[in-house]
Amino acid sequence: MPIIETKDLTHVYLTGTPYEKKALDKVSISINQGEFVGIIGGNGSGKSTLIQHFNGLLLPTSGSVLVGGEDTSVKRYSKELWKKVGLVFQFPEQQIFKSTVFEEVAYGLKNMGMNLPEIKNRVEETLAQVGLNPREVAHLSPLSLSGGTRRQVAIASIMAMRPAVLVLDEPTAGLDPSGCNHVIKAIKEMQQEYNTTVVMISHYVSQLILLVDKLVILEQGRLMAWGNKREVIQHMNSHNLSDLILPDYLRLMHHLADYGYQVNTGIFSVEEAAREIGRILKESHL
Amino acid sequence: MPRLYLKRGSRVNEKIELFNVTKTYQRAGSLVYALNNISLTIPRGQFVGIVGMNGSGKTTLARLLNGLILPSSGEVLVNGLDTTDPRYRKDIRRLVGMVFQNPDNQIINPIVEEEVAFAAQNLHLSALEVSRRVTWALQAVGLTDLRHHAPHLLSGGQKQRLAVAAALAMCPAYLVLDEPTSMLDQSGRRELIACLGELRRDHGITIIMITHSMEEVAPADRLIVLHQGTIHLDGPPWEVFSSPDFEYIGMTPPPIARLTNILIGQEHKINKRIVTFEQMVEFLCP
Amino acid sequence: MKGMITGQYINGDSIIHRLDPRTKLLGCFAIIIAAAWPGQQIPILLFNIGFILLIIYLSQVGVVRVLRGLRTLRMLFLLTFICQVFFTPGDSIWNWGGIAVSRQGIYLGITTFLRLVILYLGSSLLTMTTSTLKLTEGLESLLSPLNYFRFPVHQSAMIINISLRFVPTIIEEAEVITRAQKSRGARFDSGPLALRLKTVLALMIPLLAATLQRATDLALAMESRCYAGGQSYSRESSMVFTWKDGIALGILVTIFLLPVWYGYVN
Repeated sequence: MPIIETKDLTHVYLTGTPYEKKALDKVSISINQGEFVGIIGGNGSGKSTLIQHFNGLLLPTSGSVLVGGEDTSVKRYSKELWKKVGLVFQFPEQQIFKSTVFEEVAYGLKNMGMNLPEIKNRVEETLAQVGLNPREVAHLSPLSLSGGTRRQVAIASIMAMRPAVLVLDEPTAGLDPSGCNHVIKAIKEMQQEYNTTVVMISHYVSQLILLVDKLVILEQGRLMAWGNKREVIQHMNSHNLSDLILPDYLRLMHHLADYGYQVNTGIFSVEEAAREIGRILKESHL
Repeated sequence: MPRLYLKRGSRVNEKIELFNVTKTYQRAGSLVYALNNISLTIPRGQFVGIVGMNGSGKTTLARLLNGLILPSSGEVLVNGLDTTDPRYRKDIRRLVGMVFQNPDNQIINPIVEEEVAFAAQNLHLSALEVSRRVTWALQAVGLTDLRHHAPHLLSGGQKQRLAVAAALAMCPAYLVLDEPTSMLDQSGRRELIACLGELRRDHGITIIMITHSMEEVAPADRLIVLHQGTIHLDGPPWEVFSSPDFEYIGMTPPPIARLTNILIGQEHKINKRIVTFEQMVEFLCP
Repeated sequence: MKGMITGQYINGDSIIHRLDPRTKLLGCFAIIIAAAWPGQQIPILLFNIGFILLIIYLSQVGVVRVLRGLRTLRMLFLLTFICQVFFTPGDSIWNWGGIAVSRQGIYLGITTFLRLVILYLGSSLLTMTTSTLKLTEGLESLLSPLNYFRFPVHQSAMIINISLRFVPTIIEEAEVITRAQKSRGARFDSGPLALRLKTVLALMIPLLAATLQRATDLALAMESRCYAGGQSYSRESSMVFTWKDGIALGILVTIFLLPVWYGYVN
């Protein structure tokens, strides 16, 4: 049984007003436990709307969303969903409000009703998992820390709840390369250690495809492609997806293929691209 | 397109110069060197990229260029004018326009038109001249249709272009952008970069861009890499990207440059100066 | 949320749009006095409404659009009407249990409703035909005599401007933060009152922190564009008070304040 399943999910904002907007149009996907799924889409593709259905923040206008086999439109169930599906929004450090790092990371745990000794353990473990030393930072004020560290704290506050599904919206946006690495490492480790299902929205396609098993591509609320990443990339033609920017080396592969070269467009690392181009160079004696 | 430059400051001396500039801060009782004895000359008309890890001094350097910050020692001269001299403050701010990272936190007026007019009004220009500059600036960034719109309805990319237009109203010779794309999505990024390229091509404005994205500065004339407050590397992008010192400090070249590096390492016959998608396509698809 | 603020400026080039903002401010002020002044009869109030609708028609912002805005206030209208009807003493015309409805009550209910409509129409007319910038320019000009009393008129106008610019942004931020906190189990609309008050902190503190950061960033951005802090120069204003304004103002004052004066004198 998939852990998240949507059937013809449609969501319309502000129905009946002149500002009515169909953000999602009959999106049907299914995500299995332990999978790492990437969501790609341009402006207005509906990515943010989609993920808010996973933890019950939004309910479908039509169609259904099943999390753990249960329908999210059942109020009793959707009210508790936040414990099972941890949602990390864009720029999560904007939600920080506690006066110490410890309290900030513990916030979700307190709301879950955990007792203090358990909370203490969990917070310390999670801080270490995101790459921070609990002894050094736990008592500090989050707002006195650098942007990258604040991001780690904010992500830790969701990870501490050990949700079965971790959903992240652009977790590396605005970070420098070392900040990016910390965050990605923490996500990967969490997935490996707890078999967490991870759903990640990112426009850093080159980074994303190295991490994920499956890809979901949305455009203007419609599902353009979804499935195994290699298949999706192979058939992803950058002309079809107007707003989407493929990383340069993938664009290059498609361009070369269009030009007439025999290249494998189903690659997703620079090294693989180099291999393909090396082959062309040898064959064409350029 | 007419070039509406007001000539103030030495015509012959059109460049920004830093002589032995050091900037220090007190933090937790000890002296922190944000910049340590930097000397640099940026001539008119260049597209300069400035990169480095967080804490390398990039933002400090940017703010020294228009006198928002003054050096602890050393000199910063803009077209021969010393930033520490209060008499030249306005001239320098007029010559060096600045765009910041957060699109929302630089727009103060509720209407696009008035936002662009703001700088021109601060220069005590006539209402007619203000209006003329607003028209020109909006056209230069492609926002003419949105002249009467409210800024909060704009997309991230549009907001940043508005910030550029607001700086253009001063007819600056130099435009400094401090991580202007880090809070934008792919399409916003693409919009802004295209806009800057046109500005340089059509209006000869010097672009000095601080960024974490190597793809953005691959087409630059010159790339300066800062590391712990000093200039670590300075040269054309292809040279910087292929230098082992670049990766040594933890930076990663953009994908196409990495491709080139790998292919050269494998002793293929490829032009070592290829760092952008367009250059690679030109080489492989003659 | 984005486009739905009633009374939002509608860009246009009608004769009303082109009036000096000071005229429109003073005119609106006259309308407000007329609406609030006690003792006005229903025919006068209806005439006032008709006249404002005529001006709205002339401004081409759409009479229907403005009238539709009345719907958002229907709860207010209903509540005040009920209060006036049931709680005004006078000649009882209907009695049910202990609750009396008097003739005066009904009359007062109707006139109060009409006054509220006038207030709404008058202020909508102002905000829909005058951009916020022109509004603050006009306000700044009208209040400039206060400069002699060391009142920081320009800075106040700048504050109003920046606030108007950021209200929609802050509303959006509040929505985002609320969603983020809900995703951590924060309960904004259920549970004991004490807990709910604490939860409000989860919204207020991040908003405050963001606003403080914003203030710092804005200051840098304004300085970078040669803003010197105060109005240390006379800014050439694009407002020109023409004869058309004079006539408009004259008409407005006459139509709205004449009955007031008449009622006062008699």
